[in-house]
Amino acid sequence: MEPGDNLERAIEQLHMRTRAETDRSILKDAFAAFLESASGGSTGIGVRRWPVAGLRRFAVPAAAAAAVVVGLFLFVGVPSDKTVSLSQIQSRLTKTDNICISTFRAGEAEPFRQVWASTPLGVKLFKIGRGNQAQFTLWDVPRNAKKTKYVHSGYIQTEVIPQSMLAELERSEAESFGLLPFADANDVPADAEWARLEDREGAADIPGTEVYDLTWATKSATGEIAMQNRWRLFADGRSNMPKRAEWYAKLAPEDDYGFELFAVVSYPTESDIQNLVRSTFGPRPSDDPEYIGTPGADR
Amino acid sequence: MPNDERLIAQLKRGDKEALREIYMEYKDNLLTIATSLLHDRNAAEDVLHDVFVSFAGSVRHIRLRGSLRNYLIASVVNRIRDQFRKKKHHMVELDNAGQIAADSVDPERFAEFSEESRRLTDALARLPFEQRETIVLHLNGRMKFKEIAQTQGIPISTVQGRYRYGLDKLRAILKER
Repeated sequence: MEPGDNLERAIEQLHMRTRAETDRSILKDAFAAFLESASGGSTGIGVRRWPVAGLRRFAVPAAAAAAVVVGLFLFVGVPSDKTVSLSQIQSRLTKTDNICISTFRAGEAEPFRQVWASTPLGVKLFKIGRGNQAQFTLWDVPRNAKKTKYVHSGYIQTEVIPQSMLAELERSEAESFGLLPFADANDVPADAEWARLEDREGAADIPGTEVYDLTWATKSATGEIAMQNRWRLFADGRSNMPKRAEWYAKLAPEDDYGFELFAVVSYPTESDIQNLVRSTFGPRPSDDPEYIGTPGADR
Repeated sequence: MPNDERLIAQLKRGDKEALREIYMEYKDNLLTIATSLLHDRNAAEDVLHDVFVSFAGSVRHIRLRGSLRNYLIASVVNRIRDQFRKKKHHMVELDNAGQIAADSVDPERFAEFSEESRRLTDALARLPFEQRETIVLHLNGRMKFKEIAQTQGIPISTVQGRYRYGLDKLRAILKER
């Protein structure tokens, strides 16, 4: 679009779609309010029963697990000696220097979101969208630079990261960038259950992995169960490193879980990420100092 | 309108499927409007949630004076204004909120919009709230200037002025980039 050209038409054509999980959450609460009103009870008008954004934060994986707070899930028990606890898996993740998480919608072959995060380099690279509509965003914390590249045009925008945004980035990492469904131990419901899957019938076939399910209920402010969730983890049988995670949800106990999202996790080297950054944003100017990192520290 | 009346009548008879029909009909448009005004998808989803739950809880007492679409859009806008008021944001902060959100990490928004749409929404976020609101209500909400004026209790000439100045400023912002 040329600036100002067909501007009104362009605004008219802006369109956002709600997510399936958002629809379920809103309809669930709306039906409850409707029935409550019909029965003559308190209508609860204006009372937020369940914040969708909060639900989203728990349900949607996003990015670097390396920065997730240490010590989560300590209260999720270990049912048998063969089973690795969630805290053990989380602990392994916090020691990971470099990680790539590709997130897919169920039934799709191409990720709608990818993130590469490197603790030694201090960078996080996001790829959002697909094909020529994709956008890369690099958060280069040591250089205090945010670079955005629009694949469609090749245009690269470079900005200084404002201090407030750094704090926001850290907060986002801690709260919502985790591969795990909860970023804070306080968010894990007391009745959450963690179990190793003995019967793998119907589960994705990922060789060399152990499969674990975390199940919990999302409850409204009144304690009513609004949604039941299942997070399925495929962890390497030897290292316990996550290789894949799947997100499921259902509204009623008698329903089958609906498969919503899955994430594939890989562990690139530091130079893999460095090369990706360079290939995405082009050769770096000669006066541009080398990336801060750990020379030769590739894993 | 006849469809609106049918749906409201069904709701008043206790037919919850009518509620689902209304939600499915208007959800995307309301989300687009809320996101364009707030420039924050998460906050926009919360507004959508609150508006529909409130609507569902009070639908038996609703007397529609206009279209259901305009009623729901007005609910979204009022909720956004209330939200800012409760947070004690004054208008300057309201105007800045969009820009801050434009810079933030919001993968969902990035995933949803093309580059051109993102440029447009980023530019919209830099407009004064009243201008942004008028443009969004007229173009995304398909509300007439007269309807916007009635909803906001201001003269129609003020609405037209906000719309015209807003578009001029938007063009200037887009030319900067």
